[in-house]
Amino acid sequence: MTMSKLKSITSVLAILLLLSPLAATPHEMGPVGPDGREIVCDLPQAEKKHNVGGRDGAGLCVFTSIEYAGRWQHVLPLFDFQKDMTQEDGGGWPDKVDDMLKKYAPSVAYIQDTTGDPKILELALKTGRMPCVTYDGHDCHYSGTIGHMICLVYLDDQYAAVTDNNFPEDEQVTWMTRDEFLARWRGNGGGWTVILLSPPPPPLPHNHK
Amino acid sequence: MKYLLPVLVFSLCLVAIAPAPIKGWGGGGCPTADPVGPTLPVVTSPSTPYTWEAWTSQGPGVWKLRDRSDGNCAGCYRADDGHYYPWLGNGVWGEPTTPPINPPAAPLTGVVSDRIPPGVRSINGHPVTAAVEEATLTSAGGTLTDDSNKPFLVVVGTKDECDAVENDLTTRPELSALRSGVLFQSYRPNEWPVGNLYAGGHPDIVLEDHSGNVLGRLSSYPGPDGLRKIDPNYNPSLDPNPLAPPAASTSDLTSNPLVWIGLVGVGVVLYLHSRSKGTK
Repeated sequence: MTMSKLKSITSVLAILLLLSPLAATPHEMGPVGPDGREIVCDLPQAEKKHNVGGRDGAGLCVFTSIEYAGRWQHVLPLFDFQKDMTQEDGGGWPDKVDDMLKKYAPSVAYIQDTTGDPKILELALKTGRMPCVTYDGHDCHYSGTIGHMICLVYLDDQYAAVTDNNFPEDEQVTWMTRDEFLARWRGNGGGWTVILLSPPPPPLPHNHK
Repeated sequence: MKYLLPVLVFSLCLVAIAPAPIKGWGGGGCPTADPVGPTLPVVTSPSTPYTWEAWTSQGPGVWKLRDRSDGNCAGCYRADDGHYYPWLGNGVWGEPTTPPINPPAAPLTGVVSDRIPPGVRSINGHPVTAAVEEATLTSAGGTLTDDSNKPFLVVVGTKDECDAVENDLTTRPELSALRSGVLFQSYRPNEWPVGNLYAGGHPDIVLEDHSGNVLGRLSSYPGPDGLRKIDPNYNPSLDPNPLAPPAASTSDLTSNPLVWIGLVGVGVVLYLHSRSKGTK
């Protein structure tokens, strides 16, 4: 093997080594992800609000995410949940979610789970429901660790996709590997999910074949 | 020649303290590419012609400032160095300066991480154990069963029209089988999930399977008897007849202790009878 060939091979390997971490980094792809995967919960952009602050300025990502799920699953008492919550202090945790749902939407049925076990996320998505999940950042939108809640719109044994209430446009749906998602879900003391139990919207109709 | 070494050392020092170049970014701190392309408005300043847009293709914390009056990029802001760079056009970025409007704040979040108790499961605010959650989730009538194969019964109309259907569906006993076998949703005609499902009925009542096959459609509510016929699996012979006498089933008999006592008694009598015959 000549020295020039060796250099070429070394260069290619070096480039591949440099590119591999980039390929695995969460990035925006929109509703259609790797190998044509399509998100399960395709809430129209017009239904997705930007995150805002509560009366103390702290963020309402938890309650904005729950409103997303409410709009997806047609839970009418949650259609203005974010607006309701602007009258309250920002910030969210499980007990506060119980209190606020009791106050603003007492008829709503829901599950909360902080075990970090993805089985419940898989069941929710399999049945068309939109799980709200904690997310600790480290992606194309956040350079560091954050305490955030977003909505999981796709999960299989290889990939996951999320829609973020800070970046809610359709083309900003962010895809990552399953492991990357699970690490971000469980990171920063997370592993928390809120799942509404109402059924999802009906599929697009077509004539019976 | 005698100045060569100091100049070389000085140059090396300059290189050492200079920030590491970022791929795709020019000396001014912003991308060398012309800042055009899809816009992602994030923060609009209504009193000015400017909008901050998250420039996510350049990484987190990078924003471009769009001048809405002409649609052009006015500059960009990098949260990592806290500087605003004006766009001078023709691939040139200016030196850091004060932006026309305040830089965008860091995205709001809102999870209070240290108040998330680990390993807790709850349903409607009531904590449950893993076993209870599992049982609840997997049992019939539970809260999150795998109902992905159930058909959708969708009602689209005015609130009054839809409420009439929903009330009957939840209260009339003859509709209980239909109710437990479908995923029910009620919509107004202008709502996004039913844009192509609504056909002007009063209300439209549509049964479709999980893949979207329409299994049945009614253009008005015919009452409970008519509604249950929308189910293609509906079988009139399975309807309960309130005038028919209740039939005693095998399980009813075997669960009655008196039946067992009687059977044991008969057995004892037969045994004693056979023994008395044998001794004669």
